[in-house]
Formats: sequence, C-alpha cells, structure tokens
Amino acid sequence: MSELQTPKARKRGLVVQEMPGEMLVYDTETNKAHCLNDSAAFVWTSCNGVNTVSDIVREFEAKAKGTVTQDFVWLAIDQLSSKGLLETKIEPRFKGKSRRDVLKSIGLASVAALPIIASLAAPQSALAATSCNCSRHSDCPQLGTPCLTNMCANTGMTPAFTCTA
Amino acid sequence: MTASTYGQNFISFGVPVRFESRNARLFQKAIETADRALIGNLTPTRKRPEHIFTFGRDKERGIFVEHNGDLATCGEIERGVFKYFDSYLRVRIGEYCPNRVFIHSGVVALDGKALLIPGNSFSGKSTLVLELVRLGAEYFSDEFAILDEQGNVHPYARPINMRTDDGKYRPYTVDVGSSKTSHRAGLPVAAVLFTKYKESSRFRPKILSPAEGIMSVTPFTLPIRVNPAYSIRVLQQVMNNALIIRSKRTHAPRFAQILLQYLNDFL
Repeated sequence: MSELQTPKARKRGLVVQEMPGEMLVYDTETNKAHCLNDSAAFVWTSCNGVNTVSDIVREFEAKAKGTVTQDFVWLAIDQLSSKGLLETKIEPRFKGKSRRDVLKSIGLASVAALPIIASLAAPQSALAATSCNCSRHSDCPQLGTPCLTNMCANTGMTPAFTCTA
Repeated sequence: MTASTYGQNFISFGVPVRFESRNARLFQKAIETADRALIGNLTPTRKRPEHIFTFGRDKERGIFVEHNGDLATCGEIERGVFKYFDSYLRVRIGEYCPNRVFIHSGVVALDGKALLIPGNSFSGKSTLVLELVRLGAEYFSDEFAILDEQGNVHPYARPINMRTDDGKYRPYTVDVGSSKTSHRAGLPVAAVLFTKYKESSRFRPKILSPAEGIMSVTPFTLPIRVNPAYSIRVLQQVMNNALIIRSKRTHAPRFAQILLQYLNDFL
C-alpha cells in the first residue's frame, strides 16, 4: 500500500464502545473483542477512506497527541488490518521485522504512546465453560465408576458430561 | 419431532420456554429439573415459546432431549441426561435473557456492595466464595453474576458443593435464603477480581482499566455472541464504577483474608 492510499475503517458487524483513553470493539463476525488504546483508536477513526497516512499524521499532531512519524501510523494500520478492522486488508509494512526493529524504525521522534490493540476471542460455546455438581454420588451419570468428586465437566462439543473422578 | 401429549409454557428470566413429552414421568422430571436449575425462576405463562424442549425415549437414542427440534443430549442413563439438561437450560436462559447479562462468576456482597470473581467451572471460584462467606461476606452466587442494565448484580444463590477435608465433594450449607429476599433491587458492583490459583504466589493486584475489564470478562459472558451490543453496554456500566484487579492467588483461606483486607483498605 502506498502512502497515497486511503485506508478505510470497517463499520459493518462491529459493536464499538468508546471509553476514556480506550476503545472497545467487538467483532460479531469473528466473535473477537479488541481493545484499542488511545493512539490506535485515533488512527482507526481517522481511517475514513479519504485520509492518507500523511493526513493522519498531521491530524494526530494537530490534536496535540504529540509528534509522530509515518511509521507510527503504519504500526497502527498494520495491526488494524491484521485484526480485520479495515475494509480492505493491506500488505503488512513491518512483516518479518522484530518488535525491537519496529520500535527503532518508529524512533524517538514519536513521543505519543505506541498504538496497541489487544484481542480476545469469545468461547465457541457458552456450554464449554460450565459443569454441574452432583448433590449425591448416585447422581453420577457414569454408572459403575465410584465417583470421588461429585463433579462433572462438559467435554466440549459432545452433548454429555464426563465424570471427573 | 415427537407428537406430545404433555406440554406447558413457562417463562424464566424473561425467556419463554416450553417443555413437552409423550411420557408423563419424563415431563414431570423435566419441570423439576428446570425449576431446580433456575432456582425457582420458572413461572407458567401463555407467552409464545422461543425455546421448545422435547423429552422422549426411543430405541435408537435412549432418553433424549431436543431443543427446537435439534438433539440437545441423549443417553441410556436418565440422570445423566437430566444432569446435562440442567446445565444446558441454565446456559441457554443465560444466553437469551433479554434484560439481564449472565456471567460465569462467583459473587459475594461486602457492606452492601458486590465483589465479582469471574471464572469457568473448576477455576476455584466456589472455594474462594465459600472462604469469603466464612469470613463474613454474604453469599450471592458461585456460578452466575446476573447483571441488570444499571450494572447492579442480582443473586443466583444455589447450594454450594465443596470439597471437604477428605478430598470429596459434598454439598456445603450456605445461607441461600437471605440474599434472595434482601437484595431484590440488586447491588452495585464495587470490585471485579480476575484470579488464577498458583501455589505459593503472592497477592500482587494489577489494576485494570474498564476496557481491559470488559475484555477480560468477555469469555465468561454468556450472551456475548447472542446480544453483544447489550452485553457490552451493561459490562461498561459495571466496569466504569468498579475496582478491577487481576492477581494470582494462593490457597483460598489465606487469600480470602488478604483480599478482604485489601478491599477494606481500598474501597
């Protein structure tokens, strides 16, 4: 992607919750939650399909967020793209580079907090997180096994509980 | 689908359900199991059901439970099937409840405010909840935190099963009556604790931001896939007003003391 291209933030299928200094984005298509820090959130909201990277750098600085380089914005765009938060996927700018190299290339000129996006996937099934307790040994669904724990765990997608004894 | 002789509509936590069966005994067993699973929140209704549970028995599957026509569980051993149905129903109600957000979490009340301890089964939350109750906290739940739109938590107090000194799990008597009756309006959440057991670990609380708190609680939030916008709105209400901490923990009795001291100092 060249400096003249204009990344566009994805809106469809996202639940966005703005919070002081952070933004929480829940992707209903992948069922992943993303937490964007202030810098990442600013870049994401600036990706309107019209702004170039240079424009975003200027906007960032104008909003008194501190001096930043183009690589600083690219770092955010790389992450936004890899998390599926842009309309079109872009070729990673820092592919194959170590975090140390990336930070070096961004340089000390960028005094603002580095853009960071933390992500977490929701579980496949709410049932996977549950279990059930027997109130007595005779409740155990697995006959013939002397149950020691009175507890069963859901073994995943199988519609059955397995005695954990 | 089985043609049913017995059938009744119920509503639980705002979710209209129907149980039906050709077998009177299975039908009765289903209602008893559901009533216990939902701690009495099962009221007959004329509302059109969104979830139809059919109970039956055939040669191929043994005893089976269907949910809206799809097989939920089956097996030869009746108590195993109903045990699974017990958990299945709780989770489905939690996922589809229209005006509450269910979180897998232990909950106790301290001086009129709630402490949430989100975690999956077997994460030790019952043990910790019980230790906190022993030290004077009020028991709310060892399974679900039920949150309303204002971010208040409501009790889901069922008897706790606890491991006793001989290493076996037995029902442990906790006062499940008072929290049901005395906190009908719910309690505000003062603190949320994310914790994992690690032997000999120290209590080193890291304070999380509201967004980090929402992220961390996402895996334990039942309706997050069904109703993400509502879930996140409610979670934000909770996290904006609570102290959110993460720490490893040592054995529950010692940790409970340290935690209570910390919360007393901090809140």
